[in-house]
Amino acid sequence: MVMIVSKTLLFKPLLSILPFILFFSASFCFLEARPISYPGSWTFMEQHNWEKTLVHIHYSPNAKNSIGFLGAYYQEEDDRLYAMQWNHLLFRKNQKKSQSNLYSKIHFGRLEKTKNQTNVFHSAFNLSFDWETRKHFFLYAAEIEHTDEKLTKSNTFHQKAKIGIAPYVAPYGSIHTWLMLQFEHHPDDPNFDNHFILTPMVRFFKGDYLCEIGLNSNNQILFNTIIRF
Amino acid sequence: MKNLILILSILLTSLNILSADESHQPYDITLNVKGLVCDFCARSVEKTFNKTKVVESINVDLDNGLIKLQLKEGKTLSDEKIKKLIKANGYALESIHRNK
Repeated sequence: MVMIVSKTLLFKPLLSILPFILFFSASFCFLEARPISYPGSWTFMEQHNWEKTLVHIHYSPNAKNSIGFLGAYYQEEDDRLYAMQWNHLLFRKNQKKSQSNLYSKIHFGRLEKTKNQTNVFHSAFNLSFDWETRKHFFLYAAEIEHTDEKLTKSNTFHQKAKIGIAPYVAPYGSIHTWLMLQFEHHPDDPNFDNHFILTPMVRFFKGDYLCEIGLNSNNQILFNTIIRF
Repeated sequence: MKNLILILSILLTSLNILSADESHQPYDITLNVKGLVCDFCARSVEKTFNKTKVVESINVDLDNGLIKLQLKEGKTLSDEKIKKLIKANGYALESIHRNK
């Protein structure tokens, strides 16, 4: 109870200033989540967080599209998702010192629900915007998930924002380090602790390899990796 | 904790020094490109130009948005082809400067 009260006290003011944080972050600069690579390339993405462990392997036939397999394991529910995902670059603005992108991501697949011993249709639509320079990074993403339950259909919404700053600017080929802060909002999650999650993290980036390590406000580990080849 | 930060800083600095590009060779073509902001961007243009089989070496300067190409002996790369490759990678070409 004390924890719930303290989190409410912590996150209500945070929620009220979130638009300002986002605005000021956008005013500086941003970076991204790059779901599409260069033409003819493959990308491996892995995410492990409080909710799930996810693997996404995709192929980019051109610089505006990528398609691939998405697999996820939801720890708490013990559910498994097998899906096909299409990522599309809707808009890109190239500038001398920055790049901004608007992506759509859509997946369709089968969710194996362990508790009910059933397989249901699952889909999601995600819009994400990023802006980055060599020193600053910003990402905002919103997602609607749809799951065909046995008797009812459920839609859930969640959103996140990520801001980052590079403590030093390294040349191409060197190790780049980013200090980042991620805000997540999951209003439909049954667990109140997951409604607002704050995750400070560090990102290491070199050539075709990227990894992020963080610890969220519920003391849960985040570990993401991206490999391009 | 202070020692850990110090060791991590020294390690990262050393790795950056070791991996920094120190080549000072002259390049045949210099491209001024918009949108190059990270290593993923640099890697993509590097791999794309290497696939053309006419590029001997490539240097990407992220700070200034420059791509420097050295061509193989006797090989050429037209402006049209360069424009096409940069656009196909999702970046914007500002200018092409030929050193020879």
